[in-house]
Amino acid sequence: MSFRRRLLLLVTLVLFLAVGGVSAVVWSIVRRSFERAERERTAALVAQFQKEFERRGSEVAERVAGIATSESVNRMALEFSRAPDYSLYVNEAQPAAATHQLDFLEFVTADGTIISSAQWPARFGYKEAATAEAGRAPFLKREELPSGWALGVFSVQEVKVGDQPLFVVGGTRIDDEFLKTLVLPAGMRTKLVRMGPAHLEPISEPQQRAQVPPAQVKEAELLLRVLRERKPVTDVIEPSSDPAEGETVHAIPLTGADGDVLGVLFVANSRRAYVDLERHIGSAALVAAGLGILLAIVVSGWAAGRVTRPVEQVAEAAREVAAGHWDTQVAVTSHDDIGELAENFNRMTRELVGQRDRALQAERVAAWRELARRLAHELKNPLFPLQITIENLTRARQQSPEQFDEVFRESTTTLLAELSNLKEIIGRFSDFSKMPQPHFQPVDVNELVRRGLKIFEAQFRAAGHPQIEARMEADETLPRIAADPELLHRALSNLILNAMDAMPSGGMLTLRTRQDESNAILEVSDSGSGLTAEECERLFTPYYTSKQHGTGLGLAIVQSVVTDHKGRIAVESAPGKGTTFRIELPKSSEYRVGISE
Amino acid sequence: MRSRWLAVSSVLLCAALAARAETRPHYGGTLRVETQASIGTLPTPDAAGGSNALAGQIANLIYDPGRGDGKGPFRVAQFVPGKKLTLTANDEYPGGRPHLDAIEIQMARPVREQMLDLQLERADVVDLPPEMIRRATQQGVRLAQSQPVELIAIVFANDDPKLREALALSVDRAAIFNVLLGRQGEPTAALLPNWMTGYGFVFDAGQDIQRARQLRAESRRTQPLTLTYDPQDALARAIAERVALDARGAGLAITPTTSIASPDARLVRVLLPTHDPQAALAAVAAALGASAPKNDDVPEEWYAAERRLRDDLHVVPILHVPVAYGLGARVKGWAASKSGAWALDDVWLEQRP
Repeated sequence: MSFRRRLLLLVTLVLFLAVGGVSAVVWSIVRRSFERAERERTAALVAQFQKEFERRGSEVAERVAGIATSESVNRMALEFSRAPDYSLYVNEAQPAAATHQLDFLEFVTADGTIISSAQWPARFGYKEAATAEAGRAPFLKREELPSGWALGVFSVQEVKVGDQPLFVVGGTRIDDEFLKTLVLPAGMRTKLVRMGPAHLEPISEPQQRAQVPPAQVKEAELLLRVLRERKPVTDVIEPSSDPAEGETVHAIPLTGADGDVLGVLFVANSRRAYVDLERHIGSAALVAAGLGILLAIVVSGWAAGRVTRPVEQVAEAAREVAAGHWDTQVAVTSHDDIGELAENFNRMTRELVGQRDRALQAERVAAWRELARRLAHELKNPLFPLQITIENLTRARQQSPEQFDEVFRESTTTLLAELSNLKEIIGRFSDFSKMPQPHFQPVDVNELVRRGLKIFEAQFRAAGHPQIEARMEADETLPRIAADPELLHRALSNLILNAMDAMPSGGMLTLRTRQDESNAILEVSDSGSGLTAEECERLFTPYYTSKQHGTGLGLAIVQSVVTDHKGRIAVESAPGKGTTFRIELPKSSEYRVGISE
Repeated sequence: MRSRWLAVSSVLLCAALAARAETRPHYGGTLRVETQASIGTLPTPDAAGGSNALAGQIANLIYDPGRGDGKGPFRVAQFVPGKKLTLTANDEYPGGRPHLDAIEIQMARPVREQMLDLQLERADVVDLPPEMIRRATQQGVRLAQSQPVELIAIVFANDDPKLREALALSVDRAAIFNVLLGRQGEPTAALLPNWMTGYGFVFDAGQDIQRARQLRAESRRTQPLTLTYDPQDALARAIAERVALDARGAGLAITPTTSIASPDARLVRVLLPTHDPQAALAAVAAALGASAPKNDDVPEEWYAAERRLRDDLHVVPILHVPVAYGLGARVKGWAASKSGAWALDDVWLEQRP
C-alpha cells in the first residue's frame, strides 16, 4: 500500500473516529437528557395521580361520613340493635349511593355481613373484609362486580348507635374516567390495569404468543414483573418495526391497604421525539463523516504532495533505472531526509552509469580479445599451409627447377584451396555481424517445423552418413504467432545442424511443439552424448564451441533471433542423456498488434 | 230496680243494633281493582284454573258452569283490551246477586302507582308482590295473602344433569327467602309446595358449595350460561342476580340477561291455580310445555311423577311464593283463599259519608 493511501486511510480513520466519538457523546447526552425529562414527567404524573387519588379519597370519606351520620342510617343501626331484620334494608344502599354520588356503597354488620350493596344488590349475606379499615385514611380497594373487577378509592365509617356497630363502606371508581382527569403532557398516555385475585398468566405458549401482538406480549411481561417485584419497572415497547412508534412504559404498582398489588398504572411516554432527534443526530453525523472523508482526501492529497511526491519521484526514477535508464536523475527539492534520499539516488545512478560504462568497455575489450583469439585461431590454420606451400615453391625453385612446374601447379591448387577456406571464415563472421531486424508476420510454427525437417530429410538418410531418425510431435491447436519466418527457420536450421553434429553415430531427432498460457514452445531434442553443466552455461557465448571445426556462432545466432522475437531459449542436457533446446515465443495479443503495424 | 234493668237492656240493645248496622253488608258501590297484569281478550270459561292468573280470576267472575245458564255473578260491561275491564252485577245470578254493583279493573298498572292509589284510596284492591309483603305489613296495609302458590324456578333449555345439579346446590335459597322475600313463601327444590303435597321437604333445598364445585368440574361445559328473566319483574331480576352470584362460588359463570333469543336457562314464575296436587302438577307441566302426568291417587306416585317431571323439564325449583293483595279500608267481606283467587261474592263496600 502506498504512503499516500496509508496517509489517506489514517486521516480518514482519525476524522471518522472523531466524528463518531462526538456523535456518541452527543447521543449519550441527549439520551440522558431525555431519560431525565421522562423520569421527571412520569414522577410529576404519578404525583398528580396520587394527589387526585387523595382528593377523591377525601371526597369519599366526607360522603361516607355523611351517610354514616344520616338519620336513616342511624335508625337502621338502631333497628339492628333491637331485632335485626336485614331484609327490610336490602335495597337501602342504592338510593343512598345515588344521593351521595358514590359508585360503591355497602352497609355491613359487625361480623362483616353485607346487608345491602349498591354496586351488586345480590351480594347481601356475603362477607366484606374492609370493615377492618374503619376510621382509617381512604384506601385503594378491589371490588368484585357482576361484570368483573373494579378498582376504587374507599372509606369505611363505623356507626355506633346501638349495641352492634354498623359499617358504611363507600367508594368511587378509579378507572379510565379517573385517568381522564389527569393533565397529560403531549406524547404521554396512561392506562390502568385492574388485577383480579388470580393474576394474569404469562403468555408463554408459542401459539399463544403468535396470536397476540408483540407489544401486548411485552406489556403482559411488564405486568408480571411488577407483580413479582412489587415495585415500578420500566421498559421500551415497540408495537412495530418503526422505533418512533415505540414508547417508554413505566409500570407502577397500585397497592391496597394490605399491600397487595390491586392494579398497575401504566405511564407511557412516546419515543418519537427522542427517535427523531436521534435520527437527526445520526444524519448530521453521517454528513459530518462524509465531509470528513472529503476533507481527509483533500488533506491527505495536500500532505502527500508535500511529503510523498519526492518519494514517488525517487520510486519512479528507480523504476526507470530498472528499465535500463541508468542515467535517470531526480530533482532535489528540499534539504531534509527526502532531499538527502534524492541526492543519494542521483549519486547511485551516476555510480551505476560509470560502472556500466566501465563494464561495457571491459566487455568490449574482452570481446575483441576473444575475437582476436578466434581470428588468430581460425586464420592460423589456413596460413600455416600457405606458408609451407610458399616455402616449398621457393625451395623447389632453388633446388629442383625441373620439378618447379609440377610443384607450382600443386602449390597453387593448395594456395587457392586455403584462400577459399579463409574467405569462408571471413564470410561467416560477416554474416553474424549483419544479423537483420525481424519482419513480423503470422507464422504457423508447426508448418515452419515441418518445412525445416523436410529440407534436412535428405541429409538424415544420405548414404555413408550415420542414419538419423527424425520425428515431430506437434500441438495442432497451437495458434499462429507473430514472427519472422526466415529468421526462425535459420534458428531452427542451426539447432537441427547442431543436433546432427551431436549424433555422429546416428540417433533420434525429435521436434516438439506445444504451448502454455502465454507462449508457443518449440523443443529440439537429440539423443546424442549430451553436455556437461559447464558446457550448458557457456553454450550461447559467441565464438564458444565444443566442436573441432565450429565457429561458436551458431547458437549465438539462435539466441539473437529468439531475443529479437522477445522470446527465451533454454537448454536441458546431461552427459549420456541427449540435449533438448527449448524456445519460448510469446503468443500475446499485445505482441500481435505489432503484426498489423 | 226493674226500671234500671230495662234502661240497661235498652242501651245494650241499641248498642248491639248499632254494631250490627256497621258490619251488615251493603249493596251497591264499585270495587276498584288495579293489577300489574293485563289481558288482550276476554277469557273463556276454561281459563279458570289456567296459568294466566288474571284471566282465571276474571273467568271465575263472569262464568259459573255449575249453575244455571253458566253465567257468573258479574257481567262484562266494558272491555278495553290490555287496559280496563268493567263488570256489573248479574241480577239473575242463581247464587244470588253480589253486593257490589260493579267492578272496575285497571290493568297494566305499575306496582308503585298501585300502592300510591291504595294509600290515596283511589283503589280498593291492588297487587302486592311477595317481596313487598313484609314492608306493607309494617306499614299497616291490609293484606289478603294466599298460601305459597307460585313456583319460581330455573328451566334449562338443554339438559346437563351435572351442571343443573351444580346450580341447584349452589343457590342459597335461604338468603333469597329471608332477605329478598322477607320470609314470605318457602325455599323449595320441589315443583309443588309442601303444604300442598306434604312431601315437598323430601326434595333437598339446601346449599352445598363443595358438591356443586365437584359437579361443575365434572361437567363438560366451559362457556358461561345465559339466564333470562322478565324485564318487568323486579323480583325475578333480583333472584337471577343472586343465583348468578351464588353460582360463581361454585365455579359456574352465569350471565343474567333479558335480551337473548335462545338462552341457556330461563327464570320462570308458574302460578299453581289449584291446591289439588295432580291438577297443580298438570298446570306446571302445561306452563312449561309438557304433557300432564298420569293421574294417580297414591301420594308416592305423585312424588315419583313430580320428580320425573322435574328432571324431564330440566327444572331447578327455587321458591314457592304466595299471592297477596293490598286491600283498601272500605273493602269488607274479603274471604281468604289458599290459592289467591278473588272471592268477591260476599265482598261489599263500606258506605262512608
